[in-house]
Amino acid sequence: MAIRNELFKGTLQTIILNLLEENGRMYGYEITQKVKTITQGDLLLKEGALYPALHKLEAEGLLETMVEVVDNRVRKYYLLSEEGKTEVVSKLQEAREFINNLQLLLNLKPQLK
Amino acid sequence: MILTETQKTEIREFIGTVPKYQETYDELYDHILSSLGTLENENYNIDLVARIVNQDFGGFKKIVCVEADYNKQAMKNVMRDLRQEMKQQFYFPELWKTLIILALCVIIYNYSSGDFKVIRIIFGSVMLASFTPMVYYWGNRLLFKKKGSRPSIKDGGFAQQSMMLMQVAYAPFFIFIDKDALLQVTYPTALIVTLFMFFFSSIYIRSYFRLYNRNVKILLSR
Repeated sequence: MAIRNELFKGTLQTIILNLLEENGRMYGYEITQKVKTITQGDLLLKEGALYPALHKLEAEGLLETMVEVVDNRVRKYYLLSEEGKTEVVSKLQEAREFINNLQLLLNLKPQLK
Repeated sequence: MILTETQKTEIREFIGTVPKYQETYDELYDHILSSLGTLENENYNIDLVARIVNQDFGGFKKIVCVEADYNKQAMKNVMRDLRQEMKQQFYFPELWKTLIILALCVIIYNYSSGDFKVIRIIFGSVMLASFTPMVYYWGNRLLFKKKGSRPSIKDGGFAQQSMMLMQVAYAPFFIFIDKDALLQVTYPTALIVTLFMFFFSSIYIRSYFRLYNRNVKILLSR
């Protein structure tokens, strides 16, 4: 069952930061495909939402970028900055606490077990 | 799906008129080609590209909006990166150059004749030097335009910062140094202000050139 994208909009930055922490550096299309693979297609991260989020994280200094020429075209890779490496820890902690509270509020725990 | 050069050219022409900046164009083009590369059971058709643009990116209008937001953020990024680059001038390997300039300032301070003419000559050179970021920026901008390159998303930020030194350098001149200056100060004070401006402008100009070359010149000179 596909999950409505509105549900994960608030955690989009955390998802991106976490993926980059696990994978080192990634380019835009790779991120969308990784999300699709991990969630088995339940979550579809649209490029219209991904790129503004990446640019915002870059502007906040949490991401750095590097370009490489691949198959005669320029590919822009995103990677965590030093500040981003610190931020990902607190963002994940924040997300965990939010999920715990959500489980309590929506009584989801029995289903999750 | 493996694309031929003709098909790639068709895609470049299809998306070519929409993104204003090189970075957005590169990212869009790479995304479309990566996406098409994963489609195995479909034959190439330009409608496929239109479908990717509309479904994944929300259409050309949305791309233009995203690009405009990115441009605003890029302006702030240039300011932040320039400040960072200026700090780097106080760390090795750049510190050597900074120390040489500082030593030159100390020598001028200790051995200057006490004539205000010397101060005006040094300050005049600072004011002339304050134009170099702007000349460098517009020179490169015209060069890239001639080569048919799109502007970089960071161009606006660099254009803005290329004028900053001019704005900063003129105020102390009319406050402390000019014959009809607002404040009449002693020779040593005027010399300290002048040498401070000389030192600051050397840091600023070197930082600007380094940052510009790293971010824009390399990107657009491909």
